[in-house]
Amino acid sequence: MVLIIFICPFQLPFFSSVALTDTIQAVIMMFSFIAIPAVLSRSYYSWSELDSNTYPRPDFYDTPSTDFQLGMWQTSMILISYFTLPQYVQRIYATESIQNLKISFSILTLSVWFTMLPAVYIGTIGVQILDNEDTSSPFTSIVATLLDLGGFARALGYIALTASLAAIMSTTDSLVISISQLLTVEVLYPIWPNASPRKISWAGRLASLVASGIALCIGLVWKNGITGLVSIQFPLSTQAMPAFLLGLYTKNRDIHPWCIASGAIFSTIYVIAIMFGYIGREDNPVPIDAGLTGLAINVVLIALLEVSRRMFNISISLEEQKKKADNEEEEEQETSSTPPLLFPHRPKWDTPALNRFGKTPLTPRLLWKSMENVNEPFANRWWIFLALVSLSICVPILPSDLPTIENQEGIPWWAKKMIYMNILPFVILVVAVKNMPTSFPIDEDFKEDVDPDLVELTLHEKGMRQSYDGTNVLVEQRRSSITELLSSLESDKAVESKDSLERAKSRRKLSALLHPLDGSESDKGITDSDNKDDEVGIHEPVVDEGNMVE
Amino acid sequence: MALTEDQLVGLYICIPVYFVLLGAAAFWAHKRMETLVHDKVSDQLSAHYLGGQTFGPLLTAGTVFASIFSGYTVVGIPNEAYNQGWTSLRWMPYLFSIFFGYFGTALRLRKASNIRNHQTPVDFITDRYQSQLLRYTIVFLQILPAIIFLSAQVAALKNAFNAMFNLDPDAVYPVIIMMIIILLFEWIGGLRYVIVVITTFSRILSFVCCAYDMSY
Repeated sequence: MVLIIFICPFQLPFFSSVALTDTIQAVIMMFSFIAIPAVLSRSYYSWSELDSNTYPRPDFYDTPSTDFQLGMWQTSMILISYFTLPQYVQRIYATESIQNLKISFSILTLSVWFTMLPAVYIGTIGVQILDNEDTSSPFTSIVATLLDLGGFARALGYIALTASLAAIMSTTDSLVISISQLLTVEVLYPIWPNASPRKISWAGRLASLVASGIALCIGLVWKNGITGLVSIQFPLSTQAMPAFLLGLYTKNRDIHPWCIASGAIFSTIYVIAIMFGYIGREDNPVPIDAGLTGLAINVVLIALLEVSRRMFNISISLEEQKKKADNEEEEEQETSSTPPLLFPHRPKWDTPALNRFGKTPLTPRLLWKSMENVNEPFANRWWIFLALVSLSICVPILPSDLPTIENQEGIPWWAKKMIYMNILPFVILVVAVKNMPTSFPIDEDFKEDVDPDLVELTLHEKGMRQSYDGTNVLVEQRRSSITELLSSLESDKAVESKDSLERAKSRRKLSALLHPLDGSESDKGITDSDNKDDEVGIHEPVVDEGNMVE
Repeated sequence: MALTEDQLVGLYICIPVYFVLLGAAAFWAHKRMETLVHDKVSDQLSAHYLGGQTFGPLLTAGTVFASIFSGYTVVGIPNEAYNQGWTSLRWMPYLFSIFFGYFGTALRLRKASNIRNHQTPVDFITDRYQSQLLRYTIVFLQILPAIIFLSAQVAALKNAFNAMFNLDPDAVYPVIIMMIIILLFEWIGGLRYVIVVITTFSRILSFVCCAYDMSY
């Protein structure tokens, strides 16, 4: 058992089909979070044995204040924006396939019950065990009582303490590397576009050092506790959410980037001003979350600026609009090597280097087309509505400061209600994860309608970046081959007498280009096994006519 | 309750053993990274920051799990429950809230990355809006909260380590030394090192609790 636990991570990448082992490992991991409370309840107390009359902190049985409830609801809402944090996005990109993501999401959904609930259990039972002793680190003190049990439990207590340090260190690692990536690739690389990859790697190490230095200074100087620091982080990261959501889900009419940037900048200034100018100074501030109010300001500003922009554009005479359109066409032709701008007529300093992404812009149409036939939660309005409602009802929603019910056994009744109410968001997430695909579909029946710009990059094509904004030659070549093949197939359709054998050959070649051997993530559908013989490396000639499928 | 001198002896063994494990993970990750670059599976940047985008299910699950359940979860929530009681149950819907956003957007971000080769968390914004102003605004909005969160981890590391070893709560040298160690290992092994560390951490937790179970 111990050998499996410790040796496995060092062999993992070499075994691609370990899904079953992964599941077992995940189950063990979640099981572990149950075990500590199990030990506590066997050796000391369980929740059912608590009594409000004898519990060292009877005030814990009081109903939560209105301020707490309002704060809880607001935090629930702004935490949706967590997906914008760099360490989370980095993981979406780092995995090999969405099947791996689906497995991770399944584990995460279940894990709330096996991590959060036991964590609260350990703390509240700890109050009874330690008799509300004044301690700077209750967790350490609770584990110390386990050490007193002696023998094997003592040895395990040491490992538990090591694990608590390991948890903090692993989070630190993740943050250092995500900040380093942003500083290096988004800030340093554009300044030094032709730097060799090795030099950029060293610049990344320097960025890690700088980020760690700054964090050390803040962390060691900050005296208002960890919760105080985290409470500043939440509202700030929320302000990036509109940019991501509008970018991902706008359907028809695009919003000007300056409107979104203005909203984000103003709301960030507002959040910083509120956090340091009001909440940090007032003893009893109004329980309004800076993140949520900032988000409201952000969204309203974007809407107002965008409406104003469109109204201004409408006032331009038709003649001017025609002239503008002609100019745009000319500009597009002049700069055909770079993708055309979605919003032209902007100063040069505002136009980033875009060659590395492809020849065409990432339009809403392209994004939505790429997600056709993919079941994704945020594309379903009812799912979003249900999710928000379910989060809202997890707040206890009680009149403040109700008189304490005397002789309460077990945990407070409102705490039980909070636990039960969490079943609803849990079920909604389970359904969402269950409906997620394990790969992105490409419908073989409509292969000839495929958009070359939607062809996924292979691992090899993804990993060939040699400068900041160099064109990805490999994928461009493949996409232009696909375009040529598609147009030849289209023209063949018009000529009925064209040899059907030749058309089949073209189709086969197209299939090979869409599914190169070094693997894009797209589903090869039911034809996968049938056409295995048809798969060829992307740079290999497609000549084997023996296996052609009509 | 502070640990007695007698109780500390075990920690003097466990902590160095853990750091040796980290060193081994960094070394292995470095070798793996070199192989990826050498075999032209991945470029240097992708290998360092995205592990060559080759993480299998276990590494993915391990890293996503541990990045969501941070050190604050393991130590901070029991501490909060000790000081504030059952109101700490608020962390359950908080996590569901994080998952709503994360699961809701992951597929689309991933697909965009697959067809446009997005490698950094801001590439989507750059590609989609084509605006430097918005791009740098988002870079700022990602870096600043991340640095604040990192600072919180530094404070947590200091509190946990000093409390564990009965040191002066304001002692700063232990946390500085640990940050240097973390940096060194990250420099050597990149993201893959981080992931292996996280997976190892998960296994230590599993081991602790499975063994507790076995002992009863």
